[in-house]
Amino acid sequence: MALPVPDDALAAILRRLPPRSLAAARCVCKQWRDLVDDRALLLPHSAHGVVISYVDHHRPHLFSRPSSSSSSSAAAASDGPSLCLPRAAKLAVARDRPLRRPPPPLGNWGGELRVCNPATRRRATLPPPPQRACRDDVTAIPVGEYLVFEPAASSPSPHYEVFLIPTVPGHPGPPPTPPAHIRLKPMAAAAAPFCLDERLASLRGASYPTVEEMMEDMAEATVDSPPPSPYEWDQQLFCLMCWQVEYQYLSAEWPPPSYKIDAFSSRTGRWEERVFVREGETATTLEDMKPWNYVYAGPWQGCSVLWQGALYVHSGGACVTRFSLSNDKYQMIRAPINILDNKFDKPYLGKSKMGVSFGFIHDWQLSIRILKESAGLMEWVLTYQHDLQAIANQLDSIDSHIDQINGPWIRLSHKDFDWDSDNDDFLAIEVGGEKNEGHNCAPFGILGFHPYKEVIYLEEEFKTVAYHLNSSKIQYLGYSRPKCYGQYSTNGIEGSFVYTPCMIGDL
Amino acid sequence: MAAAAAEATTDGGGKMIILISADGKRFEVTEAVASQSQLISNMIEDDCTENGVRLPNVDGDILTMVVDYCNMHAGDAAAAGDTMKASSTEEELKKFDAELVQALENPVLFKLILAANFLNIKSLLDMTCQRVADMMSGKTPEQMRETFSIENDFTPEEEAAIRQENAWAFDD
Repeated sequence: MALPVPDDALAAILRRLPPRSLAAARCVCKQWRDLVDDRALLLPHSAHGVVISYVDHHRPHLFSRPSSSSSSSAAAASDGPSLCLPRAAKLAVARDRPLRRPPPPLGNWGGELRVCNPATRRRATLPPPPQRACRDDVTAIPVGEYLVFEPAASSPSPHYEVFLIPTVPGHPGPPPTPPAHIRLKPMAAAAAPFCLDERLASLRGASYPTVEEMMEDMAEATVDSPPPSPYEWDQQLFCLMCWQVEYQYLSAEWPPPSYKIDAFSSRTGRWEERVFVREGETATTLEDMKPWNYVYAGPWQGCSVLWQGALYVHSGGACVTRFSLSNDKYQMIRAPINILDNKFDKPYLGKSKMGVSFGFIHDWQLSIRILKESAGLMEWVLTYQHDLQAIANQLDSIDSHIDQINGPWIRLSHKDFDWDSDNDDFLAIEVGGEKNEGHNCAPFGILGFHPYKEVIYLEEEFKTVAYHLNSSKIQYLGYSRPKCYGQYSTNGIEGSFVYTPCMIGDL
Repeated sequence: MAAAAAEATTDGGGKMIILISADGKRFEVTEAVASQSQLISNMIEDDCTENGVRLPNVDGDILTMVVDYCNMHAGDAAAAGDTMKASSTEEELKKFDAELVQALENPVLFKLILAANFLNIKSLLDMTCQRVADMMSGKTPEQMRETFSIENDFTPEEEAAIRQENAWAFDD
């Protein structure tokens, strides 16, 4: 016998249950299970905070409004009546060790790869990724880790996948030192002054000599004389060769027509290689695709969006890579701005209410573009443009030297995974008033887009705000610097995503 | 003619409506009380309450409770502007609501939910659904089946699979 009430009323009852009880109710009978699934009661319904990872810090933190029940007795509190709906839908991928620079090679993983679901407080440690050819640190293939989990898809699956996507190919390493029997010709004092630019220009032709040919050209074989130490080697030649190695490296086509990616599936519990074949005409070189902070050897983790069966990854290069998960094809989509011109401004690719969104702040000018597909062509449509100067002034007035600045949101420790920030009555800061044109504050960073509202989360030196795109109002959320985060010159936010907890799935 | 009738009653406000339960019991209530039901409110707008409103799927004893509830809460809506009155009755209302749902046996509670759902009385539906949710909260699937006499229609394999899908809920 089932409950003698119509489905609507039963749904109204189930909707009031705390997550754990709702999950238990799903196991009572088929009618209840179908109702919970059909009405997506265990699926994400709201954004609960921002998961932030910090440069040179061992773990990410959740920055969120605490729920009234967030206490050390979280297990008991999670079933309390204050938490009425299970929401959320994203798992966090976290390493339990900081990212090293350069990152550890795959064969020598510098920490386990873990997937956790803070909403259910469950996590899994993945088996080590497949052993690639053993390389030393310099030539390791830097990869970004991306979680593929789509519980709200048209054909929902409780399984998740983790993709390890090579951001750039392995570096060939420094140029070879000359063989012992080769002594380099001394640079003739009488020769014309060495001009690197000219040499580089001469190399830009269709065929340029290989490193070995150049060495032969510039060296003479002597058997008797003792081999030169690398330090005696002609500095300019060495620079040139380094440059050439770099040039060849950077001008190579990347990603390759067949993009090999290690993928872990929770369905099989194993890693397997997936090969994505390029479609579309855009082919890029490594020069195009190197991350925005390539020059600083920054982290290789890019931003990613899972949207309608495709994974969009932006590692900071000139293109966004779109991996179609259904047919194992990939496609390069030009980023809407010229990344190479803006090395100091970090773009953010994320999922907003409107779809795949590209946010960028340059000189306090915020622009948000949405990816639209029309007639098979991908196109970025400029949707928002805002001047953030006034907000920067407002935030400046908050003393950044105080470690703890009061705001409604706090960083939660790993024990406090239950929170309820659905009704955020943030402290609103009125924007406007005097303009201080000459201010000298740090640039804004984008932390993420609200998945269901026209809101973007911004950060300036850890001072965090929610910016309402329609009203241009900001709400100060709080100070997102963890107390346990040491003071280093590298301090900063490495990456972030808006967290929408989910109660269904393998974890 | 309908339009004329509607006009005649607009400034009266105290027009009475007859509600007729499935077993023929008749309840006379004011329009203000009855229109807490969205269903009846719509009927009043459409002017089809002249000959009484028949509620073929609500029993007399359930309708008694519904009418009591609506009478208690009619003050709410009517005195929305009158804060003195609203605050003075707030405590009483809470007490009344709590006693109403706490005392109910399961079958009656579900009948009340059905009636609230059919009549579309949001506050009563909220209250009764919350009562059932409170009864479920913190229980295991077995305890829920026992509480509400629900038959387990899963095969053992299906049940194992579904528990696996929500395994986190069964962690200690």
